[in-house]
Amino acid sequence: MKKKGVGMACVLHPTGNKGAGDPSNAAIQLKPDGTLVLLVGAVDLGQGSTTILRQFAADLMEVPIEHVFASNFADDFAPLSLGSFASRVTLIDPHAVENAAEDLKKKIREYASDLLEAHPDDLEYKEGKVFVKGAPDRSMTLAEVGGASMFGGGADPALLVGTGAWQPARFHPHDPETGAMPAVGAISFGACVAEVEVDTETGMVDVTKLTQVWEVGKAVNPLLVRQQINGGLHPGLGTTLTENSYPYYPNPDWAPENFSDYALPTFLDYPEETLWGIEEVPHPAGVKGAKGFSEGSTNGPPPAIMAAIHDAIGIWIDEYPATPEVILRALEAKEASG
Amino acid sequence: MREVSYFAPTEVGEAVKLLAQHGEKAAVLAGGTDLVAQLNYYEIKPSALVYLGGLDLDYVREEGGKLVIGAGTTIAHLLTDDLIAQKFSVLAEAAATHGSPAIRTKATIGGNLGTASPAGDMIPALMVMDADLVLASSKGQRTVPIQEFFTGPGETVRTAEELILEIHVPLLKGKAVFKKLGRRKAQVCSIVSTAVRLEMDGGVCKDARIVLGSMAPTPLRCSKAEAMLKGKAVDAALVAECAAQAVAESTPIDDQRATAWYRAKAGTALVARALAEVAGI
Repeated sequence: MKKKGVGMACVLHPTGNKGAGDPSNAAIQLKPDGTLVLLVGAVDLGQGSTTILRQFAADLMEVPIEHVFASNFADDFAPLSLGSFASRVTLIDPHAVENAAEDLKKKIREYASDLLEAHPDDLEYKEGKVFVKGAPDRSMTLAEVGGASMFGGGADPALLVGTGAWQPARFHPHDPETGAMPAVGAISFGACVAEVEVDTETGMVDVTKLTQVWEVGKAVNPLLVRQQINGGLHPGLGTTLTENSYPYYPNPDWAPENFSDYALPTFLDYPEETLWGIEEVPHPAGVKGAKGFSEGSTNGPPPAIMAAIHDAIGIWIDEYPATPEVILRALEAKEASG
Repeated sequence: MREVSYFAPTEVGEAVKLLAQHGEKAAVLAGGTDLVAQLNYYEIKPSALVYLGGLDLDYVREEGGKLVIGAGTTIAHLLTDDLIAQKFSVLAEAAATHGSPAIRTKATIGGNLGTASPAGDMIPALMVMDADLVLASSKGQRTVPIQEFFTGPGETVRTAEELILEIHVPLLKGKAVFKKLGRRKAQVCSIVSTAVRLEMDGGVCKDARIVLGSMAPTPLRCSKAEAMLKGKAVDAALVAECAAQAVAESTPIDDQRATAWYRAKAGTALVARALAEVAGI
């Protein structure tokens, strides 16, 4: 018999570290044709960090995104980032990019000072141009500044690179009076609702529908946010239903030795219907209010699916994964206890 | 480095001659989906590989009231073949559960039989139709009923000098289904599988086959359970009784995919569902 159930779970996910030091660096270089090269150390494993940092650079330098090239092709040669973990890149690295952009704008004003015959403080940078305050006709485009800095043309050649570094402010380990401690940079909030069908004769659990909504501060790239929400479902499903290192613990004899027996979910194991949603409440610690969340999207499905299994068969399964064997044994124990 | 000779004969006569020459030291290579993994893990160390892909054994045709399936027919071919869809759809059902598209494109039905896994996906469907296997050697051909082909996990009556040439499938009456349970819904080795075929006359069973996969050292025909159905009106109570009997005939084990306890429980449910489906109850 198939029994249906629905369950939900709420998740708080800390993003970024604090106090112990969580630095990231960035550099933006002006090329002779006026385009920009952004160098970052955050490793993009497909989650899209290079894409969003490029978006930040374009936005902060007020140029079309097509004018910014971003690379993390080799983190040995890039400014360092503490790393792609703790859902920290979206919260921390944009600060480094922001500082690098400010530094580059300053260097552009200083370099253009001779060419525009004005003190750097009297120059302003806006939308890819540097101009004399109050006299916008006396201006140079980024291409003109970049070309001049490479080939001369009235001033000495120069390599114009803006650099930026940032980490959250250090804090006292804890308030000696209250014990309070701001342990994390920011918290993201998620909610997940799962619908399941439990086959009471085979113990198979089918997740038929799954909805996940995340509050992310600012969705820098909504498509990537959506993919991270749905991407987190994959390990979430596997953790909950199939991925088992020691199926009959404590007996280690049947530990899986390959990815045929260690069963990661396939697309056929995905819910037929997957819904997602994004909420935005700008966070004061992030550039433009952005903060990370992505690892949290793995954490919603397990408790939501377990709650749905409880709703379906009236049993709280208290071990992961809820394999068909675990479900059948739980059903039998329930029957035996009346 | 170990020397391995590679042969790609283009005629059956040439292939069986090579097998006669190399005997136990030869491994027969078709799609390679099982064999190459065994080679990579040094589970087997043949000194000669005889590739059968050049023998043109990928065909399905109807001859003398039987389906004749070439041993080199790929699982992907079975899945899309019109004759199979019309006359032997349970084989297509089994093919759909086998591996992934990449595996199905290379793997052959002869390979699935030759590997002789108790979990071999194509075997239960062939067993409910009383298929015969045609084996060829340099001395000639012989026909082995599929029921007598398997002797243990990975073991068959095929000698090292023989190759599986064709599968002959009588077009027996009745409706058949295949069901499989695994740790996930695709690309998975079965925890338990079953194929059943019932020939019904009104509500009465005229002929029955019940086969279990992954429940014994070989795919298992449950003849006592079959006998319970013959000549009887099939109802839900008989189906439940018969499913329990089928599993009682099996000898499931604990392994990395499931325990014997689970296999027996889920296997009973699977057989009961398959029987109810073909009996239309």
